[in-house]
Amino acid sequence: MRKIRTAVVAATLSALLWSAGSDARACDAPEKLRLGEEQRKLAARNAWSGVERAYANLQATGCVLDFDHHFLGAESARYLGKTWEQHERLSQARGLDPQPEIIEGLQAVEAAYGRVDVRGDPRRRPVLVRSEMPFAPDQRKSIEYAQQVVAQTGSFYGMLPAGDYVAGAVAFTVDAGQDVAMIEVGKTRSSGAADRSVSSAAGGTVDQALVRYAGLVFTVGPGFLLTPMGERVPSLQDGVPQFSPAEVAAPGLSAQLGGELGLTYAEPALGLAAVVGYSGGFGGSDTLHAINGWLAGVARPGSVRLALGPMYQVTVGSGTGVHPDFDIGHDQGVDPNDALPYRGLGWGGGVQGAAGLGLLDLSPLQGVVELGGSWQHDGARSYYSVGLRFGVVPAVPRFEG
Amino acid sequence: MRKVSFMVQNWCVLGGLLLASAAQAGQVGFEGEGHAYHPIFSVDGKYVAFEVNRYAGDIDLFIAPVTGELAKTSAKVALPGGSNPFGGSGQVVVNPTWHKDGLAVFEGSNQGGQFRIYYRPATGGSAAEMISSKEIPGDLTFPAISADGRSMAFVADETGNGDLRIRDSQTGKVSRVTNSEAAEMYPSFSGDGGRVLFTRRQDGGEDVFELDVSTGVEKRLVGGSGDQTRPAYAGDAVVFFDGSRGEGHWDLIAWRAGSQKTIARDVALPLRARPAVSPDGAWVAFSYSDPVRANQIMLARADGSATVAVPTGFTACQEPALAKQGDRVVLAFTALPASGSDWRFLHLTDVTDKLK
Repeated sequence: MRKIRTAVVAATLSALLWSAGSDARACDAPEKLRLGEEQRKLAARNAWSGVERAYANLQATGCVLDFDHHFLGAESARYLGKTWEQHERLSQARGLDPQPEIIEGLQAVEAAYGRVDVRGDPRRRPVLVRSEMPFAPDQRKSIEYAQQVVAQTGSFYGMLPAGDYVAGAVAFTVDAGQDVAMIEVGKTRSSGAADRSVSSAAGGTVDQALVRYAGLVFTVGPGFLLTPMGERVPSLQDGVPQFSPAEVAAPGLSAQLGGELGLTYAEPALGLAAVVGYSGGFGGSDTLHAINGWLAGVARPGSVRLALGPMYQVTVGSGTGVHPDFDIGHDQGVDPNDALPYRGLGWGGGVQGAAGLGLLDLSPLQGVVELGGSWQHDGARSYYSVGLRFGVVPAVPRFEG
Repeated sequence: MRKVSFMVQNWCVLGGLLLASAAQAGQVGFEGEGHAYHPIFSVDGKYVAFEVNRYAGDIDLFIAPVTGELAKTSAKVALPGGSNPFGGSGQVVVNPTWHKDGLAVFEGSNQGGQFRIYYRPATGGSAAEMISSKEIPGDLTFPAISADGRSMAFVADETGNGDLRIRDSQTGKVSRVTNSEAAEMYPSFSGDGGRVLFTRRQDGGEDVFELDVSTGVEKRLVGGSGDQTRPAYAGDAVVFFDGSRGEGHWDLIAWRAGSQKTIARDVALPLRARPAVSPDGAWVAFSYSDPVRANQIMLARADGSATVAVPTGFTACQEPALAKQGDRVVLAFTALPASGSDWRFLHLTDVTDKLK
């Protein structure tokens, strides 16, 4: 009696959960020390992009950062035009040591910048324009950064120098020290500052392509196939019993090859994947090969990839051990069911899904590990497969700032 | 009798203290000790930036809010970075000028490092570079800003010759506007921003040139023997310091349409400043190099038609600057105390009535 071999892939789920729970890591004190020194050296050379990277890495250490870290992080944000981040980091520095220079820095930001939330369509991205650029390079940089964010995402949440702007066809004014003013391109909710009569030619919009991204899907890894016995053996029209082995549970291989298209610009990115898959089981005296065509809807929140959709599968198998219905008239002492050979194929529709996590940046692709599973029924029995696969999928182009 | 003499003595002491306080009513304080130089008022007259030379390798820049003759606590400007490959923490921050929106722009160097141009809001915060070394390497000096705030002229030593550059704040682009093998210095914009005065050192002397910004055509206005330096527009005239009479003799000259008029002879040459022109371009402030006459600041009409003396009660008065605060005109100057030895301080005085 073949028994259902329990193939629980708990290790895979544990690995995925551990990666997602990185916030719970303990403070990496030596790394914090090293990054702090690196940050100081880069700041002395005015290498502010490097200082910004060092600050991001310091935050990733899980350690409580010092005054100097926040202060230099505020300086790098200033040089890169990230005024909101500059303000936040100065605030954190003030919380640790309210030096006059820090308080003055915060006051200087409040005296020259206001907070805005520009919301546009990621597919029809507005162009952010300011008629007269400010003299101060950091204010200019702040505007250029906001323009870049809007061009890449359609929206911007942050701080802008006081002055008059146009986003798409919406004109608005930023006052120094103002609280967040929401500006929806197409209509505005900002406090009385919009002029709806502004010509749309002042800012304009940039339409994005239909396809956000497209690329190869290829994953491969160990798998497991299971097909329990059906309750009955249906007969074909000519009376010959359908392919009906006894229960088969076999480890093997799982692979997929295909392509994926990203079709939306909002987050999470949504798209479609068309994939040809293979699941093989090679257990003892049984061999099963299942080939399927899968059309999946794909969601890509952050570095996670979720795919789900219908599939059609043909399963070819051969081995030993057939359904008990074949023992009619057989002497079990002479021809036991589990010694009878079988060969044949089954086919039918089903559903397949996969959950994966991106781990490697291989632009324009992304290295992933995923756990996939499927169910298919041929009219008489179900076929289950699960696989832990490693491979590549298209990377979702995102603005990282 | 002894009691009366004691009371008289106390009243005299109190009177002396009051007199001393009055003489120092417009004094601008700063942290630490040093000699104050080169005051420059903001465009609206509400701030004054000035240098303090510590004579220990450091020159600091301070900015103080000003109301009339009164200055609030001045704040020291700190350059970013701070460290330098030669050790030490001294900074040299000099040559301030102002943008119309209240940004102080100045040269700065961490000790042993290059001079770069920085800016900082008058209200506070940290200084930041105007132009990165990736964009233009080398020393950047002599910042000057047009009245509309759209252009900044400066001298870049990238080629080793000290060339004049102009940065357009609208495009962020920097253009090289002179192309000589001689060193250019002291750029200064006309009121409409269409022309730039500067000097060029060539053939052993320094001459005054004027550049048309739109065409790039330059012409020599004044030259000859000795140095003609630090030109500034004063209405329809160009005023500058002239050293043609030989070493140690500096005259204040006004040039107009090819002709020159001497406003004053043997004036004190400021450490770095141009002639102190009033915001309306009608008056020029200066002091004399002669110690006997250096207890006052002189105000002269740029056309040479009138001269007014402003007694100060101090000695060695130098480095004047003029500003308009509303309908009042304020004079800043540095001076030593009338007696005893002490540091050179910065003083403020209202000269509105002197100019009527």
